[in-house]
Amino acid sequence: MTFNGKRLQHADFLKAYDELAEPIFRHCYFRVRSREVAQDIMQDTFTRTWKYIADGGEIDNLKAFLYRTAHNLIVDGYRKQAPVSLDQLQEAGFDPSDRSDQVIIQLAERQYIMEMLNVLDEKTKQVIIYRYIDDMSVKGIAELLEETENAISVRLHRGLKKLESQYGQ
Amino acid sequence: MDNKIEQLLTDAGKAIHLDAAAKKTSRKHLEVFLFSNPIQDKTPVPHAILSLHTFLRAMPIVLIATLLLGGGLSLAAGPSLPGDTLYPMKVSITERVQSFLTLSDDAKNQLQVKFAERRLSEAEQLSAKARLEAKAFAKLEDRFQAHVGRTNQRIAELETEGDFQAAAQLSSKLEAVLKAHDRVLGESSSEDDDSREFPETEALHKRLKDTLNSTAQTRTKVEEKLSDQIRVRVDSNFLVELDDAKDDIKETREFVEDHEGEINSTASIYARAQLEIADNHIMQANAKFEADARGEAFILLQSALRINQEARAFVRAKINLRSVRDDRKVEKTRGPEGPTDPALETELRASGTGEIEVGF
Repeated sequence: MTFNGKRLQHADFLKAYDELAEPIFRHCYFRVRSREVAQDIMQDTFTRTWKYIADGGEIDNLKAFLYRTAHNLIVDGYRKQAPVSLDQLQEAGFDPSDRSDQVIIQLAERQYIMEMLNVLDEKTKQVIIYRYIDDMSVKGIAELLEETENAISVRLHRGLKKLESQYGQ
Repeated sequence: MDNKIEQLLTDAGKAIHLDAAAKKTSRKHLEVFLFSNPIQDKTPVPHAILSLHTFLRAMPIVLIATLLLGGGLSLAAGPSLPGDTLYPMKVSITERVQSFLTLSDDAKNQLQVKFAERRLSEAEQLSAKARLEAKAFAKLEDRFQAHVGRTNQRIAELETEGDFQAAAQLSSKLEAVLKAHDRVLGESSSEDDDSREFPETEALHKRLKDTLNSTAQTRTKVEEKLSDQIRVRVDSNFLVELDDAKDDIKETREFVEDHEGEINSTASIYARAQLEIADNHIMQANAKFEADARGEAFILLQSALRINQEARAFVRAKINLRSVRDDRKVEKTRGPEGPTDPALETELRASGTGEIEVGF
């Protein structure tokens, strides 16, 4: 979605919210590991972006601008919460073979994945999340981060390798 | 192994959703934020600095030539009616130039309402002059509906843009004008026997009522949307608007007093009664605001403004009609040798009661 030099109106911006609120929330969630904090950052991302526009700023690529704003808010130090691990659930007498608990297992596994992502450096984690959580193409990520596609591909490959070594243990 | 990691990551992503209720609440907060932080218009307002180059480049050459050669005619076309020689100039050129030269969004929004009111005023004057014929009526009605249509289109655009306040104000203004002329047309048929000869007057009145009803419905819907937002507006904005509304009502009251001699006592009593109602709505709006019922306070304020605008439009229309009826008496007295050119009639009229230009 682009607004190339075009003056954004309320309706255009709200349409962008309808389309991008969930993807941006999801991205933030995997970065900060807290639903509540991710919602705050998502909301803040949109209000700050609008303030920029209202003050006369021009935006060529709204999606990229929103993701960059979210990233800046994340690195500015939003509070991070420790997730519940699978080990902790099992210690509480939880049986992973019980089908009724499958959803919780999956949730715990996702929490575990988020813990795994933390072994990556911030730049690599960011790229992994853009690619596999946000479903962006390598080209899209390269444009967003203003880097070459090759640099992104290399970072993705190294990130996956590191996760494989951690998950395989 | 890489594929498994990738699949895990992808599945994890797909399973995370923003709660629908949270998204809706967040959106509402964002709407209020957008409303409270409008885009700053940093483009210079070129009322005084519009360069000749820009003006000439943007304006069709035929309009420029007409203005340069026919400036005096353009002014004289102002009071002309359908059937008069200068009327085509009034609607095709003078009003187009006026549209071109109107630069602020607010003024542009209101211009079509102004033109719609002119068409109604022309119909009333033709009817009073016993000149409202089928052909003239058809053209007048087409133009009137075109102006109303453009206004409604603009209201819809403002709603889409999220500017519910401007949409509510514009629909309220249109409704006020239509209501005023609904009353004028209703009274005209009883005050002037000649107008009864024209079924077109009744047809125009009926069309006006239909348009008034649909406009009132639009205005109500927009106000409902706006009253949700208005609850979180900064207090000082509303209090300033209340004060402005009181000043507007005071000005209209002075306008009615200044032109007391040009309208009949019934019209004067009606206008004053409307202004009393408007004052009352202002008091109620203030009370609702103090009680933190801001949505209701806003709707009452809008109602007061609308009633004030209606009273003013009604008195203006009555003054113009009185002027037309006085002219008919003058014509009947002067006989067939008297001048019929509207430009010259303007000069004659200038010595007595003149037409009040419909303005805001």
